[in-house]
Amino acid sequence: MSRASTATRKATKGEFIETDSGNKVWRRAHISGAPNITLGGKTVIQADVQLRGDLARVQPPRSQGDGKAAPVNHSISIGRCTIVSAGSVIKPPHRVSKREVDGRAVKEVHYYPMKISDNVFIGPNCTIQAANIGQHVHIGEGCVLQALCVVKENVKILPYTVVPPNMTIPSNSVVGGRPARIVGELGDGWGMTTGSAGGDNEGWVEGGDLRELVRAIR
Amino acid sequence: MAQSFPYTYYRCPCVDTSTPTSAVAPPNLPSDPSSAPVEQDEEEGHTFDPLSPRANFSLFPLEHLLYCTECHEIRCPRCTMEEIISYYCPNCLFEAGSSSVKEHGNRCIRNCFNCPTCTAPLSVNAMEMERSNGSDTGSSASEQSHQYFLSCPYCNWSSLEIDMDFKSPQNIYHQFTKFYRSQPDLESKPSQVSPTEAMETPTQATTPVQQPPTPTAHPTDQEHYARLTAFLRTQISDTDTNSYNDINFSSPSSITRLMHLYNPSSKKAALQKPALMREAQKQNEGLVVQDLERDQKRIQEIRFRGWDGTISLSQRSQQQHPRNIHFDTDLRPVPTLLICKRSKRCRTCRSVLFRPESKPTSTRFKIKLLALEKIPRLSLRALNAATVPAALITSVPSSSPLITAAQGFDYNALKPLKPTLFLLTLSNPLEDPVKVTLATPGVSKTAAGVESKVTILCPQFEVGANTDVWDEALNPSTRDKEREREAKRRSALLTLSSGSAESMAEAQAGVRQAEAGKIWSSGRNWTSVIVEVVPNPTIDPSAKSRSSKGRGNEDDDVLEIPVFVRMEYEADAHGDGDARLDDSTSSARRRGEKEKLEEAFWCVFGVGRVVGL
Repeated sequence: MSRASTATRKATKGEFIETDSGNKVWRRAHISGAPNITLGGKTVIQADVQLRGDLARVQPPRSQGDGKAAPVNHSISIGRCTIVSAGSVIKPPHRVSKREVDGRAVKEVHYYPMKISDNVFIGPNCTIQAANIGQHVHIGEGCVLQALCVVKENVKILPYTVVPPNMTIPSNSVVGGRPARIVGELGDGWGMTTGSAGGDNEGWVEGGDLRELVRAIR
Repeated sequence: MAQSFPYTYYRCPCVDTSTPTSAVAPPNLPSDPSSAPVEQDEEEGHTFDPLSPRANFSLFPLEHLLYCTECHEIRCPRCTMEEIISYYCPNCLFEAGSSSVKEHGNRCIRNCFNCPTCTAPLSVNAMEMERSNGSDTGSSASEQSHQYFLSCPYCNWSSLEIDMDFKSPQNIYHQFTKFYRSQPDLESKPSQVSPTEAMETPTQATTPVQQPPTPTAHPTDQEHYARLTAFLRTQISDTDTNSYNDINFSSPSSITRLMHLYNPSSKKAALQKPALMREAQKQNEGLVVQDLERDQKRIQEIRFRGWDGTISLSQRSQQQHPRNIHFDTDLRPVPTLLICKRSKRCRTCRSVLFRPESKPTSTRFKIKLLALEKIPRLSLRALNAATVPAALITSVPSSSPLITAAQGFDYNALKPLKPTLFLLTLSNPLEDPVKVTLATPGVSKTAAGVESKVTILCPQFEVGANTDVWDEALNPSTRDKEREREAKRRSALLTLSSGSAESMAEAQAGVRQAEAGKIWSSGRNWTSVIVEVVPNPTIDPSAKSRSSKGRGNEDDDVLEIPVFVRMEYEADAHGDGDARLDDSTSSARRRGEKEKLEEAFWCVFGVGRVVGL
């Protein structure tokens, strides 16, 4: 595990920076609050992706004499071999709560940490506010995953789907529509390759191991 | 079409009615190389037509197919039996016992509800804020402030719209059913005329006679069901005197009774007709009388409320009790339907092909026999398309929105009369090298009748075994082979570029002449050959007339190529090669007990759309 912003191996003037653990982060990606973001390695963050690490949970302020630095709030953690395609927005989920302060109703926005697991493919121009995305999930183009939805392992989200807040998508399902509903089941062989990274044919399938695809991105 | 081009579908043979699954002999008889499936296909004497209406039901992506190792056949969802292992709620992922499933009708009995208007999951909210604002004077604020309601975060529907609230945020389903039962049918309130009377005196219906509402007038669904079942039960017991339900097969008297059924001597007894069951005739027997006045009222209400007040068919069908639901105020939250985990069995030999773990959250499985592990994966792509999706190379997001569609080649615009070269790659999942023969009908049509010439330049080739990745690197002979292949590929590329530089098409034509009968490239367990497709604008008149009959739809111009794949290989006689020992011993053993196997199937490549001239 390494921080996204640190440990660049070489300052080549390529389009992206490859970190020690193999993360490929485009220079044109908009990353805010980098200390709150963890990338698992071999993960691709493409151009014009917004990673909103600054929207972290606000910790209660510590007393001055503590001597410690402010605790790290993990707001976005992304696993290995995950690809975030161009133009997507990754934003920690939030919840609006109402509280009474001095007899007046005050709206408060709480941000929660989000976790994206390994081998997740996020298509171009998505907006992701999920609480949790499991392994081997394929998210099509232009999807919106609204706040605090949970996507389990092995799920395919069809392009232009809007997943409503708080929805749980169970494993092995295909979801689509606005709002999203389960429209089908994945085949039992979802994400399985034919045991090879066959030469010049693509060594990856939707929902499978994305390592080959990450390697192919240059 | 949901899938983007190019796609590959595999045909499951079970659809073939001439060879029902049960009748298909195990094809891999060890001695005869030209055994069952090929022969059968040849006997039928016709090629597979992806345009036939039946084809839809037999084509599947490879991931959806299983493989029965007993029958040595592909198994599709049609020819597998499913057994339910466990039920669980898709929302809260809690398993439901089968008894609770029976009792509550396949619904989640926890706190999971779906929005009746948009199907999004509802969330439980407390209305503390609203109440505390208005409760400055109210003394009952303390008890009211703990009320909860369901609301949809997607479309902002809330259960307060139908005056439904809950005392506690737990066990909502229980409170919901209570609420549902306690509330009288909405329709029984406005119309107080008993429907029988309304029918007898239709003229007086406009001036309602004040009467105490008869409790039987508009029964709820539960009441109606209870009455009808009670009535039918008495009917069955009254009429069905000689029922065969209580037959005890061990007793000789009942056996003789049964035998009398078939015995012609007992004609007299058979002629004696049993008393007929009659229909329900009274309301307490479960008869529901058409209430004209109520219908009139509803029509009035539709006029009053307009289109927005009525509900759609899908909303109505989603409701738990869809009878008498017409307006958006009748909609109730829908308890989430359960889903289940299923195991799959072969219909022919009953062996288990797929069995997941029963835990809802687990994605593991106990048995999984996939077609992916036995059937080669065939894939098609345009020769000049990039390997890596363009969406990932470019840094400009707008230029290439779709990862799979835009790869530098537009599959949605195949030009007529222009030869387009495709690369057909076959990768072998087996641990033995495979000899492959491909065949295609020379002409394939789109639904609109555009014929295309399809030529596989190298229909016969070999594909290497799916051995360990390191075998290849360590074994010098394979490495040499690989080098040779690489050189071949280079030369092929050279010929490609050395052709006429003016037009790509001519260059490709040059390659075609040079490479006919040769593979394009190959690797450890995959081989690529070239397929040439020439869309021809001649329209088949029969297809045209068919499409002009109003059948024309958006997928008429999709070109699908059927390809027959036959593969031969030698495998270990025992076991399907899963007991691999180390190289020397296993190869020695194999030499002794080799078995010739073969596999044959149709598959269909969706190449793209043919555009007009």
